[in-house]
Amino acid sequence: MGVRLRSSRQTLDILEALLARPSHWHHGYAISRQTSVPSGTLYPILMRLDKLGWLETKWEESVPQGRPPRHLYRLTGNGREWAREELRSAQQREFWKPAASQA
Amino acid sequence: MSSPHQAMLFRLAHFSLQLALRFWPAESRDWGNALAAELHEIEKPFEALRWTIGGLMLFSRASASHLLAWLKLPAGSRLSRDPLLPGTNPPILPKRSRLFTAALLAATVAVLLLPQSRIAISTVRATWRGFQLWDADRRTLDKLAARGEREKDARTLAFAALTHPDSAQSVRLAEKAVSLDPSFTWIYANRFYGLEDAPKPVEWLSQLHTFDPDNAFVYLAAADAIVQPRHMAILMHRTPAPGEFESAIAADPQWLAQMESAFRAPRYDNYLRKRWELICYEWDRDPAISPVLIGSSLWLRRIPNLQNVKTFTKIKIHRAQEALASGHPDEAESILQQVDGFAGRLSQRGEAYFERMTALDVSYQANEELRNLYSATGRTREASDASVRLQELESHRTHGYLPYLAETKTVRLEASLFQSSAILLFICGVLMALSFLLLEIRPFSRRRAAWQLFLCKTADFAPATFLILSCAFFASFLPIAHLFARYRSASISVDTFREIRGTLWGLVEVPSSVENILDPPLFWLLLTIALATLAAFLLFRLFTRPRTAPRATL
Repeated sequence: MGVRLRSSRQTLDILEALLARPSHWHHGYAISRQTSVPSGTLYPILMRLDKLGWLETKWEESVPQGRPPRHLYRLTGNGREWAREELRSAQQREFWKPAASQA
Repeated sequence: MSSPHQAMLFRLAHFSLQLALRFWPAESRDWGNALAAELHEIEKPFEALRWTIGGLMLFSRASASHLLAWLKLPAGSRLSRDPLLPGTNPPILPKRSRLFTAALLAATVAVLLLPQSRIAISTVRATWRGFQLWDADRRTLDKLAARGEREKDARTLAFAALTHPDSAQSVRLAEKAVSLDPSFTWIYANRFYGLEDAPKPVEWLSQLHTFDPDNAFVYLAAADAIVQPRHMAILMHRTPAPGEFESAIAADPQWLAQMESAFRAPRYDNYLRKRWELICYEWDRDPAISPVLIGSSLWLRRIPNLQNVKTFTKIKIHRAQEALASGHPDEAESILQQVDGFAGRLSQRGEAYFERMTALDVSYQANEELRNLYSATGRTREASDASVRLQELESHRTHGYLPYLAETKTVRLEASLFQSSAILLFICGVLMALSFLLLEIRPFSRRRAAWQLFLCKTADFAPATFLILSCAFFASFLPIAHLFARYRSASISVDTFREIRGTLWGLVEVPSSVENILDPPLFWLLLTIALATLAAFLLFRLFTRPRTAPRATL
């Protein structure tokens, strides 16, 4: 069965956060704080992006003693193109506004 | 917030996520680990708790999708399957998915949970145990008794007293019922006939005499109360010589007086109708009441000790013969007519087979003596009437119960169908459970073993068969349920009682036959025959199978 991604406001917020520094690796908690999307919503969206091939993931390599390695995320090349298109389309439909304009 | 509280919240958050990770489905466990790793970066306790709650939600979603994916596969298969080695066959698995099986089982459960099905199941349970009370039935009786005491309902208390297997409890309930409503005094005799278990036999007998002085049953009970202790005392030490016991009681004036009163009493009532009214009262209040209670309540009733009747008949006939020999034919005739009258009353209201057969025997003996008396005194017309009566009695003795068999033939056929469907349902359920259990717990091998094929076929077809059989089970119970409803509303009579007894026997007939088949010697004989047949079949296959050419090897 194919994986579908509904472009909800939370998805668009997450895409915006990932696109803010596209080549940078992001942590889950940092994305959650930035977008105010709770963990129960954030991770299913990340899992779908990953299944669609639009998200790159890796485990942290150098880990300080006493804590487990963290999972890191960034959009792939195709993912970035798709994300920009989605954000633009949502803005045109006035479905979603960038965080900067909301502030 | 104080730091111990904060530390506790952090510990709770970590513990909850670690616990969830232990059960996290393998295919998404990495994401669970990713979420749990972030917890170390959170500094505020409530933030950590919120993060954990989100993690637990993710865990429940992952588990649900894992379960759904698992259900979509057939039994015995796993979500993460090892890749097949080249040249190996894929494992044999059932064709139907677990989801399909679960849907069929849910439909079956829905059928079996229908009110009529539940009564059908409890009927099967009752008959397979030969109407013996289970702990659950005892609890039901205790609840009924408690309700009866709470509501001061003498009928419910009397029903519980008549059916309760615990003698002490039964006595307590019986006394309570009688104290609430003295018209239930008869339950003393009906539950404790002979009163051998009764704590106050003298007091109870006195109450019974006052309650129903015209009933022969009360006097027979009193006579039995005299006989039973003596009989038991002899049997405890030795086997009595033939006729010894009869001679002993024939010399007992108390016993003779009670038997004389029984034979003279204008009525004979073994209280079966009253008992049936009580059963119907409870059955009407709760139609789903366990048939064990109905059956055992009906079986537990007492009938008189008919040996007393036979012994006293001999005494009376002997007295009549003596009176005739000493030139008192009127006295002899009066004695014999009294015996015949008693037999008539016993036959009229004695619903049990033994009561009726004894009544016929007693009546036959009395009429035989009457015929001899009339012949000896030259009363040819009366002698001829007695002969006709003897022929009728003989005919009743020989054919009296044949119509009963014919009437209950249909009922017994319906009962057999019902029990057969129950047995098939049970076998199918066991086979299905075993096949799924073996498929799920056994790591499937690559070999295409015949038994594995059998398990897969069973797993494929048993759930649908189980559903069909449960519908058949439900349908086959409908005629029995209809009969039960009819019995509940019927007033008991000799014919109804025979029919009820026929139905109950019909219900027990098939389980009894199965029990007989499973009787050890017969079971081993059948098993030996089955194994011998299987061995013969295998030998036959071995010699008749066409030989295949050896495979070419590289």
